[in-house]
Formats: sequence, C-alpha cells, structure tokens
Amino acid sequence: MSGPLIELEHVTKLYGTVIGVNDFTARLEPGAYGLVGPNGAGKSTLLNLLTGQLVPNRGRVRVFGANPNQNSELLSKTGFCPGYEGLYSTTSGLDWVTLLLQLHGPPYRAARARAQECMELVGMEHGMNRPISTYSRGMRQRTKLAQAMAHKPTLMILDEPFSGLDPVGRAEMTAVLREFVEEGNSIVIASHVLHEIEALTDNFLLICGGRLLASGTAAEVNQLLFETPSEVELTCDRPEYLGGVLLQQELVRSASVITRDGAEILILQTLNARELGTALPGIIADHSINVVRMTTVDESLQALFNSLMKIHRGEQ
Amino acid sequence: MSLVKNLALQVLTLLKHLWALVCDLSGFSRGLLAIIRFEIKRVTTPGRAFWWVFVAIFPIVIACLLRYVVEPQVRENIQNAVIHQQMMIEQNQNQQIIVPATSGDQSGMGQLPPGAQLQPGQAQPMAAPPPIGSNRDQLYTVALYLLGPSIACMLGALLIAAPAIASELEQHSWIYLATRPNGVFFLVAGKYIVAVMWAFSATLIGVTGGAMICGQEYNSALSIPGPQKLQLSLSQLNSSVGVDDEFALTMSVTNQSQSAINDVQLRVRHTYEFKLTDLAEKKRDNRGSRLVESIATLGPGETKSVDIRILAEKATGNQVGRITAMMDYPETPSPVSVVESIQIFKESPPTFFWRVVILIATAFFAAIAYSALYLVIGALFPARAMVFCVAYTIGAEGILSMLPAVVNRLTVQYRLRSFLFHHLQDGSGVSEGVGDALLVTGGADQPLWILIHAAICLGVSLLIVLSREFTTAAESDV
Repeated sequence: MSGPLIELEHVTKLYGTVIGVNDFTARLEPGAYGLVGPNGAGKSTLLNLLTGQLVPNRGRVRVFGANPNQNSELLSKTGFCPGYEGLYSTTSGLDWVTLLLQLHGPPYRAARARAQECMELVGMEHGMNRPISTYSRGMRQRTKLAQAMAHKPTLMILDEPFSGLDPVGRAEMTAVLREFVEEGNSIVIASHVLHEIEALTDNFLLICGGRLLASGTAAEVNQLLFETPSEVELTCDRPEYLGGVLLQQELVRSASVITRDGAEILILQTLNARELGTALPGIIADHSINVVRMTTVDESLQALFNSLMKIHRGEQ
Repeated sequence: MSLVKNLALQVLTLLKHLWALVCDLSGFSRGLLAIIRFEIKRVTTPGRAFWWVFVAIFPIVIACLLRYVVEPQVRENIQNAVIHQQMMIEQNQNQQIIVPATSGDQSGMGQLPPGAQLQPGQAQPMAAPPPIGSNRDQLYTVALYLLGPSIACMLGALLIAAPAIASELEQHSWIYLATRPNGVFFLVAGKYIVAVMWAFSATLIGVTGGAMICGQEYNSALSIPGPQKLQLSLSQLNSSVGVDDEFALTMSVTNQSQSAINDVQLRVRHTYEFKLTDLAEKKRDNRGSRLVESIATLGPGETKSVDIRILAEKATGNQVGRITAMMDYPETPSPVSVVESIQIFKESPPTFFWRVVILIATAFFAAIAYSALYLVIGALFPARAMVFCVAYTIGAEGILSMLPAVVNRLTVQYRLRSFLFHHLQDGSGVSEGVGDALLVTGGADQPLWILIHAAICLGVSLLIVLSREFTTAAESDV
C-alpha cells in the first residue's frame, strides 16, 4: 500500500436524513494532524470512515492509498482509540489488551509481553492486573491508548484521547504520542479543545457541520481567529468616549455601553481583532483612559466555528 | 440492483476473509483461540455460572420427580389394577394367579390370538396395564429428549448466542474488535463456538444425570421372582436362527422348593405379528395359549428348559412382537398360574449406554443448530435479539415443528426428533407409536442437514455483521 496518508474526495456520509460528513475533500501526507471541531461536528463519523467502519454514501476514502472498508492489511497498520469507553468491566486491562493484540496474530506469550510493555508505557504498570471496573476514567483512557498502539501501527486514529485525563496524565500521554510521531509514524487526533492537541501537532483540520471549514498550522488558525469578527469587552472609565474614538477611527463595527454589577462596560464588535489589539494601547494612553479589564467574550473554538460557518454561508 | 451488487460484494469479501484465514492457518487458530479463551473467561462469571448450573440441573431435577414421584404412583396404579383383576379371576375360576408387576413387560397381555374362544364363566384375559418395562424406557427417553436437547440446550444457546452481538454493541466493545484484522470473523465464530460448548456441556450433564436417575428396566431375559415354589424364566437366545425373521427363545422353570412338584405345565401365548414355528400344530386353549411342555415331576432344585422357535410375520421396524410365558401347577388350596411377557426384537435389545449416547449426540446437534440459529437472529435484530429468538422458538420450533405438514421439516426440532427416533428405532426399539407421536420419519441424513443449516446460519450472520454499519449512531439504538 502506498500513496498519501489519507485521501478524501467529496466524501458524504448520511445517517438517514442527518448529514454526518458533507462533501469533505482533503489530502494529507504522513504526519500528525489534529481534527478540531465542536461536539456533533462530524469528527467521529470521519474517523469511522477512515477506519472502514462506515462506508461513504458518496465520494471516496483512501488510507495509504487503499479502501479501508474490511481491509485486514490496512487494519493491521492502523491503531484506533474510539471516543467512547466500551471496555469489558470484569476483565483486567492487561487481559483485554492481550486479547486485542492476539487478533493480529502473535502467539499468546508474545502478545502478553507486548501488552504488558504497552501498559507500562502508558503508566498502567500498577493497575493492569485489576478488573477494568475498578479503573478511573483516566486509567481507562490510558488502557485504550495502550490497545491502540500495542500492535505497532504506523497510523493511530484517536478520538478525544485526553478526555478524562488530569493535567499530569495529559502531559504524559502527549509525550508518548509525540515519541510515536517522532519515530516516523502518523497520527490523526480528534478533539473539540484546540489547545489539547497544540502540544502534539501544528497541523489542524477545522470541521463543523460535517464540512471542512479550514486547515493549516496553529499560527494560521490563530491568524484566522484574529481575522474573524469578534467581540471585546472593556471595563474602563469614560466608556462612551472611548467607544466614540474607536468608531471614529473605524476600528470597530459597533460600540455599546452596559452596566453590569454596578460597573459600566464597553462592548465592542470588530472585524479585525488584531488591528484593534495593536491600536488600543496607544489610544488609551493618548486619551488618558483608565482601563480596569479587557476580555474577548467569544474566543472559544465554537465562536470561531460559528464565524467560519457564517462566512461559509455568505452571511459575513 | 445495487442491493444485489452490495450483497455480491459482501459475499466476495467474506470469501476473501475465509481464503486469507485458510492461507494463514496458524494465525487463524491463534485468533480464534484467543476469542474462545477470552469468552470462556467471561462466561464463567458467577452470574453466567449460575445459569449454566441451572440449565444442567433442570433435567436432573425433573427426572428425579418422574422417577421418584410419578413412577411409584404409576406402579401403584398398575398393582391395584392387577390385584383387582386377580380378584375377578379368582371369583370366576377359584384359581390363584400370581403376576409380578415389577419385572418384565406386561403390555400386550390382553391381546387375544386370532380364533381364541372364551367360554362363559371362564377367566377373562387381562386388560393391558399401563406401560412399563420397555415402554417405560421409551417414555423416559422421550422425556429426557424433551428436557435435554429440546429445552435445556435451546435455553443454553438462547442465553449465550442470542445476545452475542447485541452485548458487544451495547457496551461499545464492538468497535475494538471490528478494527482488528478479521476481528468480526473471529468474534462471531468464537462466540458461536463458546455458545455451543456452553449449551452442550450443560445439557451433557443434565442428560447423563437424568439418564442415570431414570435407569433402564427392560431386559430381554425375563425372570419372574416371587414367593412361589417354581421360578419361571424366558429369554431371547439370539437375533435369528438361520432363516430370516426366525428367533429362538428358551423357557426355563426351576423348582426352588425342598420337595418335588408334579404336573407342571408350561404354556406360551403370542401376539399376532408372528407364529410359533415348532408349536404350530398345538391348539390354543381357552386363554389363547399353547402348551409347550408338560412336566410330570420336577425334583427339588431341578431346572427344566425348553427351546421355542418363532417366525416373525408382521415385524414392524426392529420389533417382532410379544411373547407371554405361562406356568401352571397344582397347589393347595388352589392351583397356581404364573404369567409374564417380553418384547422380542430383531436385533440387539436396547442398552442403557446406547440410549445415553444417542441422547448426548442429539444434544450436541441441538447445540450446533440452535446456537447458529440464535446467532443469526441476534445479528438480524440486535436491538431486540432475545425477544425475536423467543418468538421464533415458540412459533417455529414449538408450534410449526408439531404441525403434521411438510413445513415442519424446516425446523430444527423435527431434525433432532428424526435423528433420535432413527437411531433408537434401529438399535433400541423405540416403537412406531413413539415415532408417530413425534411426527418424524427416520433418516440417517439428519446430522448433515443440521450441519448445513448451521453453516448457512453462520455464513448469513457473518454477512450481516460485515455489511451492517454498527457505529455510534447504530449502537445508541441498541
């Protein structure tokens, strides 16, 4: 099998009348990719298409140049960590990973040894012989990661792998995955939290409503964030005056003043947050305005997606 | 058209899977063994183990009830009927008749041979008492079949095979196996094998235990114990004596008392299916019996044996007919008459071991057939697997299989009954009546039919799980 890591050509997947993935086209070379999107964006559907669990209604999916549906050869090169748990509660983590590894062909002893090695790698050396029902959510996540990498795949597809992990666990798993990538392997990692995967990769695919909205590096995404319409809140004295100045200089589209908890707050809507951010300190100093607090109210990923969707629909 | 194309593609994929597995037999066996070992671990949890014990114990408990509660009651009824008839005969003839009810087969005693004449005031032939002896064994065989292969095995397969796919979808573990090379194949095949093992092992215990409790009463050699001075026995010597359908019997009488007994008469009576070759010239008496030997004096401890030859004329299956042995001798205050009968078989009489072997084999085929059947229903309707399996069992295996129509041949029950009847009829004398009651026609091809049926069900299950998209959305429906 050869070719690019992933090729998606006008892929559409429908669940009855509900669209899972909508006319998705992308071509990814080997490397690490973050699939970012809010809940219900179609990330899991896309991952299921990549693992061959779903067949597209339209379009073509290729992984390493081959159709992933019922493709045993491809499955032996792919490790998958789904978003939901689905672990057998009565068995131990080590037994479970051993079983899944045995399906790739190695004899029991070799599989057991490798499973043990992987469980230790993900920090489960102390709990691997306990029944899974006694595991915390973080331990289950680690076990899921161990099963995905136990058969030494060249591509790992991970759906929300950091969910339920504490910051220490997150850092440890990030280190494990980074090492996996540094060995020349590829990763596609889905998350709805951008910074979770920033530590792992610079390449992002932004997906919402089953569509690919944007793709690029973290810097490009940040640029996108700055360049999309956003809202800024300022707590300061003379908010009406400052609002007037900013409107006069066409740095904002609108300005309004509200009172919240006894304080007057200036709410600004801008098309270019970066330009506003650059000019604002000088204006404040020139006009001797005392600013107590400045926040952007919609810096979340969802806001970015909402804005991108509006652009996509031609509303902005 | 696209459906046909899709189906053809799935069949092709399945064949590709199978070919890949055949090419890598060691990998195939390792993968399959891994699933089997893992599933066995899972089914030995306390909850599942309880159900296994329940399925295994259930036939044994019912067999105990039949053997120690129902059977004594039936025997008591027989005894009462016999005593009642004895009293009637004594009133009529002032003659003492001793009929042991605990040995041998007494059914058919009331049958009169063609041409028998009864005079007013003479003893009435005994009416056939409730079945006992070989009939008892037949009833227990049918009961054990119903309890074991029919109910216990079906229940075992239902508990394990029906939710095999649904349980994986419910707990979201399906995806981990489906994203392994040939994972779905290993999963379905492994779960099927474990279901067969689970159901068969439980039924094996149940049927064997039940058979040991029920035991076997019938013996082709008839010996009549009792308080009388003379011991009468009748035994089938061999299956045939040169000429087709001709059989040899030995009738023996032993004087168990300390004094000689005079004027002992040995008689036989038979059903209409055969005739007595060497006694044909002797006329029947008023009880329909023919005189075999008249012994003037039988000394203390002395035994007298007489060979009798019979020729089967209307043998049905393995059964030839019944012979009733009678012995009369004078005694004070009234003469003694001893009567007993046995069933004559063409071939070897039934053995306890053979019955158990056939029942176990039936259980094995039941486990194979029902596990595959429930697996395919579970694959078709994962959301309500149990409900559909139970509905199918009641509708098809319960009602349809008992319809006297060709359609009943599509059911597993019919095939299992036919298998049981075919093998017990040939070797063990399950009567035609039992076969008629079970609506079967014997046939040696039943195992082949069951194996083909199981292979088709497994293939369809695999096609379904390979072609269906069991993803998050689908799983949430389960």
